[in-house]
Amino acid sequence: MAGSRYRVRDGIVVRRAPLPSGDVVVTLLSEDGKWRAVARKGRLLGGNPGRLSLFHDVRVQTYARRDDDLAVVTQVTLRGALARLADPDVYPYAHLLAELADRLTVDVHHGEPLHAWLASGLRGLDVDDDPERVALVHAWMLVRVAGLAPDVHADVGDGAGGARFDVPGGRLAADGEGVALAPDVASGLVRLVVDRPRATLAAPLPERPALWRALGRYVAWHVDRVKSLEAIAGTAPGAGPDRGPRPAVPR
Amino acid sequence: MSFPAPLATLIRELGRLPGIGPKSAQRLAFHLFQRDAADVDALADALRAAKRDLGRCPRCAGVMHAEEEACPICRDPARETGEVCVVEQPADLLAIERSGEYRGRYHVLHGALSPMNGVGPDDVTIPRLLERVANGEVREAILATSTTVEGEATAMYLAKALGEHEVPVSRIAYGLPVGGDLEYADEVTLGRAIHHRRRLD
Ligand SMILES: [Zn+2]
Repeated sequence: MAGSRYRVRDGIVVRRAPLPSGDVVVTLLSEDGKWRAVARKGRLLGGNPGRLSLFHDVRVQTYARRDDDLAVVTQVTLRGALARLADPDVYPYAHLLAELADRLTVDVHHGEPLHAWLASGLRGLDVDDDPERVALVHAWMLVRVAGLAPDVHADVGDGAGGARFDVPGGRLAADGEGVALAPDVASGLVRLVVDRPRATLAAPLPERPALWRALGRYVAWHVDRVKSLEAIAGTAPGAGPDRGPRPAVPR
Repeated sequence: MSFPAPLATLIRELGRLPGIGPKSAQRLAFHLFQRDAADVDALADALRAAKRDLGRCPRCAGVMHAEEEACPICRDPARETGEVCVVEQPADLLAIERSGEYRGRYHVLHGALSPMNGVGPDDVTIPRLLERVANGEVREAILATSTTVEGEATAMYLAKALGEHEVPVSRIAYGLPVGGDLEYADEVTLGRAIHHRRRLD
């Protein structure tokens, strides 16, 4: 039946790959997971793929000739666009959240919470005075809802006495294996990994370069290579442990 | 049945070109097989010559003949206006040239900032642009990066960086296609066109 080949889904554009032909392959994250479609040049109403911009929240109608074909976008309605995300102070963080959400949905199905936290993070970046804190909190929330958060041992308490972060073991404890974290770093990490995000978003979060490095190492080990995180956290392959963080806004 | 090795190699190489899927690669390979040897030689020569004889202009990073010192636009004294139009790709430069509305020079970035693709300011020709600014080659910059989020972010980054050098910066206008109906315009374009409206006087 021809009608069933059309599908309508809502999603956030997390990746765009323009092809030399002018077509654009878009990756979207929806409540029911991640999917891809191709926007063919000239096939969209109005001919303009502007609605399918990165980070846009859209409702997309697609058509697939067969189940295994990449669906072709036939209509797009914009549900929400966030104007501030191209701002140099925010842009690297928006990339980080989108790329991380994309990487976290490679094989396991976590669509609904990931979609909700990505949407919340992008909205936060659009309005908050402290986009760096929004990005840290939401990046860890994405890791948490994907079920990959490190295990925080009870003896760490609020981290005020410092801690050991065992990245491969996925464990934060008062002592044992792993890198030593200074008290402020440890308490920040406990907050990010355990606390309710609303509370963390209202609290000061010192030692951010160290918190970014901790996230960078953890994600590189447990998730995948996340290029936009490497740029923020200075954790690119080959970067030595003593390499300082690159500023979020590369200058 | 598997293809003879030379055909399989040709299909594989064609298939590595962007935008060419396996089916198109196969179709092109069979098409080339049907053509005269002279036609195929001409194509092969053109490919080799393009690779050998083309280079990037040392000033604007546009495409030029490798034997020249600079591209024709950078060599043209009539275009010594101090205006530099910044574009993402060489094809964008050609599009602006075709408009016939611009008489200054260019700077080709060869990309737009995209952290998720590992593209930072040093991965496009932004450092070279800032050198041109330091050399006094840029009295005014016109940012003509694309209107995608990536192009917009690149323009905002450049506006900040060039502003620190006190170079006046403008951004190409966002608008509606000439001859287009408003009702078919997407709301992003329409919203920007309204936001950046101009007074008629
Ligand atoms: Zn040139």
